[in-house]
Amino acid sequence: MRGLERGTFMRGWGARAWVAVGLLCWGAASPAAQEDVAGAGMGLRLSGFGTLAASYHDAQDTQFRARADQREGAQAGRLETGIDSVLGVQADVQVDARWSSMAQVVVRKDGKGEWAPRLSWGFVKYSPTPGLELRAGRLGVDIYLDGDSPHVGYAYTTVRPYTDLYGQLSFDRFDGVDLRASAVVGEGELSLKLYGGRTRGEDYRGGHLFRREASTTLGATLQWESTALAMRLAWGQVRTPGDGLMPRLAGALREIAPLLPPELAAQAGARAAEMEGRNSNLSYVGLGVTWRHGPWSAQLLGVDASMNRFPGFEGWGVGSTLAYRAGAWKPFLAYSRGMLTPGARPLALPADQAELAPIRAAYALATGLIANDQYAWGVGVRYDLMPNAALKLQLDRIEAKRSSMLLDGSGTSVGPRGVSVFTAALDFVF
Amino acid sequence: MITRRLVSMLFGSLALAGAVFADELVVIAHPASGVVALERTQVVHLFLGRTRALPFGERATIYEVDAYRAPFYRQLVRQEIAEVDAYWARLRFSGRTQPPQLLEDGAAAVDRVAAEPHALAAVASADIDERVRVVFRLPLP
Repeated sequence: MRGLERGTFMRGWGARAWVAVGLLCWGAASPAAQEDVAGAGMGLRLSGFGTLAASYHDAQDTQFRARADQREGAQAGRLETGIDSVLGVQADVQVDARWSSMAQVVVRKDGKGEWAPRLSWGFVKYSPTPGLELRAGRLGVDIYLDGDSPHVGYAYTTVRPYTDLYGQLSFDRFDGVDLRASAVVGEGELSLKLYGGRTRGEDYRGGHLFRREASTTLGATLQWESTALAMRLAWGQVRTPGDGLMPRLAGALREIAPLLPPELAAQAGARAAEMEGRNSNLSYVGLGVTWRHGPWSAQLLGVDASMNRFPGFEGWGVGSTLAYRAGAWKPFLAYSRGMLTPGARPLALPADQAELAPIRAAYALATGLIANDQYAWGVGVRYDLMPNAALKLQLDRIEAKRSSMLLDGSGTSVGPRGVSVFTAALDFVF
Repeated sequence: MITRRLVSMLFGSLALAGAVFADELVVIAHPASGVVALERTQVVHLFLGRTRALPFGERATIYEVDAYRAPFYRQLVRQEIAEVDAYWARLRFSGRTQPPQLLEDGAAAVDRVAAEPHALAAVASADIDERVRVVFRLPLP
């Protein structure tokens, strides 16, 4: 397991920040940007978004978190502001009709439990025709029906994207390229996007922060969107080379294998080989539909996901929201369910040998890192109190048989439990 | 831009409450654009950023007047302006496209369209003059 050193992160952040500054300087220095800031959409535009939120629950020995890349969750009896609060600043430079660039920095609580800035988007875009766009740089995968980003709370009806589905998919950035072709078809826009690059993101599981620096993200999205109906079919894959995600545990199993009875030795060797072996493919397919009719809006989406290497899993998730707009008020009801079932990886190490206890514990932790079986009901209201700002109140009831999103007091995944979380959030854009 | 947005946040409601409209809003184009008339669907696609191309393929630049936005979208797509703003937040902050540029009043929008051959703007019918052409009419209730 690989932890994330602060020095590494800070050096990485510094490099990314310089890339962002470079992109902006390139655009801002162009003649078009200098000559005509206000006209025809050319020049520099600064904008941003943010969420001020606080969450509360009273379930003892339970931490509620919204994303798997969060180290800490909301604890019982305490107001927690780090779950959904975020500030994003964005600079767009339109050089001419074909060339533009964008950089977006988001400050939120990270996998180390600290408030830190990150380059969320940072790319150069070339658009040879109005229906064709090629982007290169820091980009995001197309998995969020409402936002292409989990951080722009103002774009969502609810406080946050479905935790049971999207909370698990924290490797949602990549450094690479995407190509989007679109055309007006009937009442809507039909678009196809292909993308790929080096995976970026992290998640915190079992007391460890995982990154996939050597992984590759590939994906495609087919979408049709009109005012009344939007449909999105998305496929994605994160491929990790076979360099071993758990080298220490695999090494330990190989070390003890000669000391075990033949049958157990073979089992330990097989498990070690699964940890070290072939490339890992984490794949997902998602289908989402959004429907709007007058004041009513509804959303339904489903995701199927799997990973083929140790510990491996098969999983699926569904999410739905029903909302009604009445002037500035928009009450809503949401339901989501997420299931991740690890593959069967038996390893019956003798329980009476104390020297094997650390390996037994580490193996149990590794095979249970991802296990998740939980659902959530959410009820709440969005109130657009002024242009570009919305207040949201939301109550979620989460029931879990086992959960890798909820953590116990020590920061590890939990078994059966239920928790009711109340969140108040102020979303704004500027 | 940020200053204008903040002012819009603080005083947008007052501006809407105090706005006086004609009985219809219109979409205007430059007479030399070649655009004579637009269908409702075309206007929706252009003003919601689904296409940036005018009927003859030129890239369009879209302008809006802050005080007209709410009634314009309420009539055009039957949605409250808060829904439209949330939609634009989704597109803008994923780098897809930028929303139409906001102008302070109808006269400024008419000036822009009169000066830019591929510009479109939504204004009140009372704002227009002979320098621009009406390509779509949206009666208000």
